[in-house]
Amino acid sequence: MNEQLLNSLRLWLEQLEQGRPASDGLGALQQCLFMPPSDNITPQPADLFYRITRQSKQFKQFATRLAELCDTKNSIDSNELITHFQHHLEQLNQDWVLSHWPIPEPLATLFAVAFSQPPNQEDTLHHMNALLTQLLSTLEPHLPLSLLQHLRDRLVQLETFEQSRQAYREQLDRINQEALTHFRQQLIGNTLSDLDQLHQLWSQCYEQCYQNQLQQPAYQQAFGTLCNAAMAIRHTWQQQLNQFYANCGLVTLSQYDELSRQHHQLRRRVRSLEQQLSRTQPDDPGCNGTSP
Amino acid sequence: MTRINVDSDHIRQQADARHQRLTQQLPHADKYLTPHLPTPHTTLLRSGSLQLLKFEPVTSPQLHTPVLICYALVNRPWILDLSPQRSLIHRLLQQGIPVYLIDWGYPERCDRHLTLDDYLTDLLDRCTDSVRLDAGSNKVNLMGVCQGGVLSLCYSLLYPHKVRNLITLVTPADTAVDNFTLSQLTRTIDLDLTSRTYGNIPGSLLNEIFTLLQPMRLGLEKRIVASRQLCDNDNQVQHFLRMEQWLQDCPDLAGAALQDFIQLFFRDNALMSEAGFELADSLLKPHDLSPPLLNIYGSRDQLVPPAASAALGKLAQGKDYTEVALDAGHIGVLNGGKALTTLPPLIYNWLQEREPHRISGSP
Repeated sequence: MNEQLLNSLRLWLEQLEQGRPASDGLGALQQCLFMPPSDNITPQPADLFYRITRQSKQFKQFATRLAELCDTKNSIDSNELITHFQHHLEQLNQDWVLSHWPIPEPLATLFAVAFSQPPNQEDTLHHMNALLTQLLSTLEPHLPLSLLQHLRDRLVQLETFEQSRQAYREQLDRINQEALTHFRQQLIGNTLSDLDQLHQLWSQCYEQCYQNQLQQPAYQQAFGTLCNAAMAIRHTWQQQLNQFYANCGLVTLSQYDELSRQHHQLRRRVRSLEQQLSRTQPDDPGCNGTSP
Repeated sequence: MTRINVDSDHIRQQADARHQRLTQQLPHADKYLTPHLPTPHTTLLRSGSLQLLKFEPVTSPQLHTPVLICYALVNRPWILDLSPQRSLIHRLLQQGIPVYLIDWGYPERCDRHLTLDDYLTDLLDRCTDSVRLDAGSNKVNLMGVCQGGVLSLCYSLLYPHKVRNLITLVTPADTAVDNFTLSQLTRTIDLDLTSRTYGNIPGSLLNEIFTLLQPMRLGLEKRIVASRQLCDNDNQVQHFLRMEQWLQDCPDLAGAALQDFIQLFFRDNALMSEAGFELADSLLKPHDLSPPLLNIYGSRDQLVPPAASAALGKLAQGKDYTEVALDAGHIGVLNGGKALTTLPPLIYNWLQEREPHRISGSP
């Protein structure tokens, strides 16, 4: 294993075990994990190890918290357990939505440069949109109409993305609620003695609700709208870059794609001619006539 | 007020022990990351990123007609040859079946314009011709895996004279079945915008979508199993990490081909169409499928539901059709212990019964 990664893992784990704030170790570890892959370690296992270790830590925390919530008879109020679990899940949900549906890359880079901080805070986009709206209304009298319209369109795209991300998260919250109800019903009457089984039970309850929800047009619409909103921003950004490259006299990706398209058409034409030619020859090229 | 009993001591011990074992094991995990050792083969054809592989026989051939494996455009075909112990390809070779494999490779940006028509009438057809020429056989036994099964079905409709038998593995035919999640998830996505935005659809994005099919099972539960397996014996750890590598090895998908595929087979459910569908300048009627068909699927497949695969039986009514449901999931059919024991002799026997001339000395 990459020596630096190994050391970072050790440092981080030591800090966790000693109950000290693990931000230094975690920071170093994250730095290692998100470095370009070296020859010594592929990034995929490193990422998986990172997630597994995080989960293991969460398990420890969860087990400790459960023990604290138990009374002298080793039992826990189901409402208390579910509330605790629900809080844990809301965090997971937020992490999930934000990590799977981050602010589109180009904007994320822009935010990181502008604010010197990771752009994945849930409210970053909201603040950014509010700021841009205010800025646009201030600059309105001084901007040419075409530019103003262009900026307004971009702002609408960002707002659409924000709204669709929120709508999708609401769908996930709904699934969580249903899954939790189901989960509670399954727990009652059983003794909770295995963390793996507990999480697997949760996973089963969740998947069942998720699969049901997924077949609802509302979920499919929310998912599709979010995908489309994210792609629209990305596409517009790419067009802006193309414009910028073109203004600098550089070959743009669009021009490259157009050349590829023409090349592809030529290949198809050659293939068509080859096929016509082969039809004029008596023997099938794949059959040498020696076999059935 | 309902109370739930908790064995808090056991839970705490379990969490502590797991954390401790992981802490000991993880720093040594890299020793299991050995290079992939494929079954010996030569490259018969190259075209762009495509390679046609010919595997070296491990016993005297028992079939004259070779098997050409047409893998999906999604993911990589080395799941069929993951390790010497877990290799469907090696097991087929042990049966005396000549095996060829299409490795579609990693499409580049300039491949974004490749359509399904190109994949079928250019790339797959050239591979078929190369195999026929190399093996000295006028037909091939075409084996399609997942999306590759759909391509193989289309190819068999386009070029029936080049396909002796057709084998489909975990292949979606009827994508309108209730629990076909993948089809449902893509229903409202703007395909044109997708192509314009990405060109080729990034493999990492596809992986995200696959995870979304069962988010908790492929996220939380997978890591629970992983943390157990990483504390297990060497073979388990090695297999787990190898699978993980394969799962992440997801090539980009040619944009135009994916757009065609989703439109035709997900949205139009073309393979179930009585009237047929237009592809490669031809009207293809699925009910015209002529080669004998062996349809294999997993009864626990979450990606391609069993009903979606079994629907192929409707196309082959009254024809030479064999259906095998294995007690396995999607990947388990390709790589699971049970499948690797069951499938190779089953495939051999099925093919051998349909071989026009038996090779002397074959069982």
